[in-house]
Amino acid sequence: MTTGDVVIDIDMSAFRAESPLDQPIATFASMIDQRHGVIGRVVSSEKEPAGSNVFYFWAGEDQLSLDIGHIVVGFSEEAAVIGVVDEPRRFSDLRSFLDDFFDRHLEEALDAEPPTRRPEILVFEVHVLRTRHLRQDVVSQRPVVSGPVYFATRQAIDYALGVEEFSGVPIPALLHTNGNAAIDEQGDVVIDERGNTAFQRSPLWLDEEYLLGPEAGHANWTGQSGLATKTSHALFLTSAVFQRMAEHGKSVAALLFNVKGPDLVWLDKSAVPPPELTGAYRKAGFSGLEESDFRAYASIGLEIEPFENLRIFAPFKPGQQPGGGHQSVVNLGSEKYHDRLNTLRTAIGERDRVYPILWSLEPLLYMPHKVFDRGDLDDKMWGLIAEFRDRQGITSLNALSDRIREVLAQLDDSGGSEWQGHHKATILKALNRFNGLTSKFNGLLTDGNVDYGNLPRADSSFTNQEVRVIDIANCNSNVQELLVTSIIDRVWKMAEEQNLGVDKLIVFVDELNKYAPNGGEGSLRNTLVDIAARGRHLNVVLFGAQQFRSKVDAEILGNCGTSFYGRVGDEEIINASYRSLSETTKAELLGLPKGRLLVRHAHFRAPLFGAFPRPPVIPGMAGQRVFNGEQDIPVTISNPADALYRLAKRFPANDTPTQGEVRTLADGLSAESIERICAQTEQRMRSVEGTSAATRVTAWSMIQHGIRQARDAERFRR
Amino acid sequence: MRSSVSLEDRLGELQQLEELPSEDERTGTIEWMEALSPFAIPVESIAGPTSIRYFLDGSQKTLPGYFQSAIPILASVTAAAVLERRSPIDLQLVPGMLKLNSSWLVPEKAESPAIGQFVASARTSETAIVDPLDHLANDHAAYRAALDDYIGLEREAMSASRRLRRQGETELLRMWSHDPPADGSWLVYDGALREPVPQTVGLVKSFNRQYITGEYADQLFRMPAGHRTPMFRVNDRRHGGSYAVWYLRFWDAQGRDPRYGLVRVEVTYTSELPPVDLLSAWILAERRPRASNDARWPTLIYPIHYLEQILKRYLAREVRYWPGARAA
Amino acid sequence: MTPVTIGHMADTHLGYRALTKADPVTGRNQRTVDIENAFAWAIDDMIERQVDLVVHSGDLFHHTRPVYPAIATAIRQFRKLEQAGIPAYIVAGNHDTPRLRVSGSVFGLLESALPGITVCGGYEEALIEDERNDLLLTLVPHGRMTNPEPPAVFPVEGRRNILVVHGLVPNMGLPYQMHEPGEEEISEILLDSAFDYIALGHYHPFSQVRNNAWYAGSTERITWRDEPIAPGYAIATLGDVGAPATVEHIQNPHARPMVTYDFSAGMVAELDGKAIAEHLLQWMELLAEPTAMTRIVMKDIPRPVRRHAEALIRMDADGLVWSVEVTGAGIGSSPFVERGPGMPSANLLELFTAFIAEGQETNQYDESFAASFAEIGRRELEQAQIAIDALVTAEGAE
Repeated sequence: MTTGDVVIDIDMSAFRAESPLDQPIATFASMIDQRHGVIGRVVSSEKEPAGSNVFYFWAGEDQLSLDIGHIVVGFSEEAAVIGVVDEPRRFSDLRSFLDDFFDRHLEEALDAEPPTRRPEILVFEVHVLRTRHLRQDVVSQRPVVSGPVYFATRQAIDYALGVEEFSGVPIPALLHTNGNAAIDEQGDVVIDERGNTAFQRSPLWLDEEYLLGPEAGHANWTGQSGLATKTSHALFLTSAVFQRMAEHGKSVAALLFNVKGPDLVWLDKSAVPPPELTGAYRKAGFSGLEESDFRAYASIGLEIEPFENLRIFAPFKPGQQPGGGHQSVVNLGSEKYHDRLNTLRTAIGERDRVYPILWSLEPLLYMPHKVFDRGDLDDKMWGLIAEFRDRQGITSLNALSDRIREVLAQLDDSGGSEWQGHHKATILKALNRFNGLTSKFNGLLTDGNVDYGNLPRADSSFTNQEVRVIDIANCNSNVQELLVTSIIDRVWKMAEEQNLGVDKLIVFVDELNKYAPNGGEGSLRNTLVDIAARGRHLNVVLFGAQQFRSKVDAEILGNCGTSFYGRVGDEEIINASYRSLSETTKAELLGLPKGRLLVRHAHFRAPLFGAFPRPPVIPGMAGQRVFNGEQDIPVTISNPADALYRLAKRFPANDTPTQGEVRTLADGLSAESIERICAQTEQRMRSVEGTSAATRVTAWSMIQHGIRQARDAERFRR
Repeated sequence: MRSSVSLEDRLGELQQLEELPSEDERTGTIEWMEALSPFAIPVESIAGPTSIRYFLDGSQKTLPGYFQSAIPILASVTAAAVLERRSPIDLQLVPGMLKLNSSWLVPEKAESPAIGQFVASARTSETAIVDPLDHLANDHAAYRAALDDYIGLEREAMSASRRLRRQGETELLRMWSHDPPADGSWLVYDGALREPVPQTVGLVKSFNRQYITGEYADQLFRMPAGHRTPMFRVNDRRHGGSYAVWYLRFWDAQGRDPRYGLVRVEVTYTSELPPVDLLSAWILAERRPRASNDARWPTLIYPIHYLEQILKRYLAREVRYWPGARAA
Repeated sequence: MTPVTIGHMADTHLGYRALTKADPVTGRNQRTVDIENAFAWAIDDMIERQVDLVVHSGDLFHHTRPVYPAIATAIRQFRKLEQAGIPAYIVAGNHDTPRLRVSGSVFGLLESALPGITVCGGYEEALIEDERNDLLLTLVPHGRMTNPEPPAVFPVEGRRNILVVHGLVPNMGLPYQMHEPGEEEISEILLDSAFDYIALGHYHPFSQVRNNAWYAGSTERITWRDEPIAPGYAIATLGDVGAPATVEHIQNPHARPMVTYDFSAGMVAELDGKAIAEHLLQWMELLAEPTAMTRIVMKDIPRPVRRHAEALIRMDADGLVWSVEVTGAGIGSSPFVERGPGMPSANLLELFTAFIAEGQETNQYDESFAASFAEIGRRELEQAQIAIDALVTAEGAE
């Protein structure tokens, strides 16, 4: 063509191009459910273009299973884009609502149907989770192009969750249900027990190193109380962590505080009753796990296992702590404490796991601010306390009152008013205050010194798979606060000294807004903030729960790598804490049913909904009824001899007996004798742990010996 | 080219002229088939389902492409299809009844080497070439004169495009005639009927031809909504058949142009009287939902609007891979 | 329930002998006689007080194979109890339990000779009912504590329960570091607060170590470690089930006094043997305890001076005090070193130190060599001493 004119390029064949998405679709065929087929098409408009974080697609009319929370796959030119479905909107070409009114404003009945219905399309918003480029080394953020949308397969979901890149053990936290059918190994659609098509389920995995540190850490649950979702899920997640960590040879333990009734004191009892207890469970009001729960556990790949290595620590009932009288030292090892501990787990044969907490004055001398009110604690008092603690070497209330009386007598004799620089009035005030401590911390504090002997302590280092419950449900608030603060402090120090005893420790604190309120102060709050900030490097993580997220200290929440949301009330959802959630998600949260949670995790670009099965342990109230004989349950519940069996199993050796053997041998022994054998055996086994003596005796041989002795003694009963 | 404004959008009002050529083939006189009093006959609404199931329409785009000297080369894309309504929400194009056409509109007889080269190249790639000045092919002088009228050439191109579209529509109508559905379903065609065709209603929205004159014209213009005129007969000179025709008022025209909401309905007349009341009722039922997005909605029934939307997409897709306008 | 009084004694160590001084009446080793007298005193005293029963918490004998007179003493004294109708219960301690299980023990002999006495001297604990006194006794001999499985004790609810056991209760805050070879620790499991009274033996001072647990203490002072104690025995009175026991310590008025004098150079003007001897003899006079065992510890006094002083003291000490030992500082004396008859009282460690000093004086060893030689030698000798002690106690001299 000559210049000055339009260049004509007449190669019309270029005008008919093939679809640019054939290549990525073929490459990523394993990520899309082609069996189910195309579920919709990506749309982008001027006003709502597709971006790297969000895109839209309209769904085919027959896609009735497609819903919010499902995970779908769209494509950009060279990548598969995986995202989670959020806001749905139905569009029609109706310009305004009035048009529809006028449409019907003819002499026709309001409900007469027009021969043509306006077409409506259902457009879904999708939040991108991850993009997978054809090239392994490219990370693409390019938005999707118009093209087909499919349901994501399990591989796609795993990819979207970043499982490939996990540096730690993958921990299943929730179960995601997609809109496409589940396919079994033969490639057939799975039908559930009701004859319906089962939907594809895949676990939502959390990276252990982002849940338990060191990359990120801590988990937080928000949700309305009374639905028992937070604790149930926390227990489920703890069980998942325990199992996965065990599989990978890592040690882990958990510390919990029981603040209500028997909630957390039966964690060693399975949710699946043994055959002889099925009736008892039902009578206690717990129908056990359902078919869906069993399937869920199977899908997630977890066993239904209670926490075998459960230890419960409780202070004494008010006024029943040992001490007083001559005793300058309370030797807990030789005390018969079980009847006097402040816990609901009191059945003989079940209480071998319950250990005492008893304090002498000594630790309190190091935390006078915890013990005294602000008004009482002036410089003079501080000085006096320091004097007694550091210079006089006082460690018990008895010693303190003796000393004070001595000093006062001295002053009376000499007529003086000062001793070691401290005024008599201060000393008298101290005496008065300290005398009140036993009732202020009733059940926890004793007059003398305390020797635990071989008994385990609530603040000692942990053993693998141990679940340690501090039962403060029935204590007064002074004792509660003191124990929570001091144990957490101690645990934190152990962590700093690298002396935890396990690779990872989980500390579960419920009612976090009580212990670390927004804008609050105090040493416990400071410790919790410290743990939140540094814990993941020191292998301690906080699992915190509260009803109102907005009322918890922001620093703690900010350091939390994983957050779970259950049903939230409308007063709460308007808070800034929920700002980053879409309107649809917030609306979901307002009406979220039991057993469902929203999870945000470091690896997830968008929050995800999932379900979880009931935890693998019997609920506290039911456990109390079945195992503590609270109600008139006629079935013989547990054979006290089972405590001996459990003990023998805890220290496995060549001669570990069967349950039947133990029951036979111990048949007829009184429960007190059995309890005594348990205590003696356990104390002994613990004292020889790690020494050469441990090889010379087994728990079972000790138990057998004890049974013989006990029978011998029982003939002298009257 | 793809992004150019089509002539149809630019010169919209000229659409109205489309009816002219076809109606030339009809006689001017009408024959009343019904009593003339009352003139405005109320249409009773019918209980029960409508038998109108099919809809036919076409769409076109004439896009400026290139120019050589003062001679524009345009492209025409047309589409026509039949839409089947299986249920109020299930409307699908009838497979096999979609006609798409894309052609170059080039005045071949312009003695321009560039044009010649263009035509030759287009022919090798098997793309259709239509000469918009074909009707002047035998009048050399008129042909030359027309070449100098740029705007006139554009109009001719648009007409050519229209013809191409109508060609598609006619082919579809013939396919329909050849094999109409056995269940007696009716087809509504957007436009005047050009040939006798069974089970088909033509709906004419525009008023180029005024069949009713005199005092009846006054009554026509005053006809209220939901009413029809009596039927009259019009003969087809070309094919020798006739059509039964009447007017329907869709919407109240008080205070507006008297032609507001007025639609002309045509049905092929054989020996039987067409079921005018039934058809009128069915057609009036198609007023809902209103295609309120389109300015022509007072006389546009929704399924035709629906079909138009589909056809526009087809046209857009046709031109998607066409190169944009380029200049040297 | 009728209250019951228990005569609780322990650590009588019959057969112990030390020093070479003889009892003027019998000609036997005086220390042995001291111990026998103390034992007899305790028995007589208990009979007089009409205790309801007697328990002996171990170390009745000092050796696993006691000498004949020791056995005879035991039989004689326990016979008195039998005749007075007072039941007695004995457990073996670490001194009188044989090292080897297959060898028999003296307790078998005692059991045959004393039908009214219950002896628990082997490797099993025993649970006995004293019907007359309405009491259950759990006897845990030292041998039982050496088994891999610890003893299991089952105080019976609703009855009065007593535990008799020999061993060391932990965390008593003892002043000395070295423990006896063969001693066993009593675990908390045994020290069950359900027992109304726990009769302990092994620790020589009378002391209460738990709400319900007492060491009766030895009846006589045995070694220099016992210098500060008040020997005797205990009387425990039990009331109803669960009521705490009341315990009284009965002191032995005839126990031989032991007195240590720490001498240092600053106490005399001139550091010579004569002056030192004078000083010390004066002290002895002032002491006015002609029956006392005395020990003089001379720190940092050169050996020749010390020996000189010792010789002078020995000449004139007779009548002032019953016995005198002189030792230098830095040499730990094994508590159970025995001097057999006819052996010169030689202290190996002392001899060795003297040997080194001589070497230094004659310039055979330089200072650094002498120091390390002394250190190593001392250590070896001390170890040997301990080993010898163990042998001696295990098999018994003579």
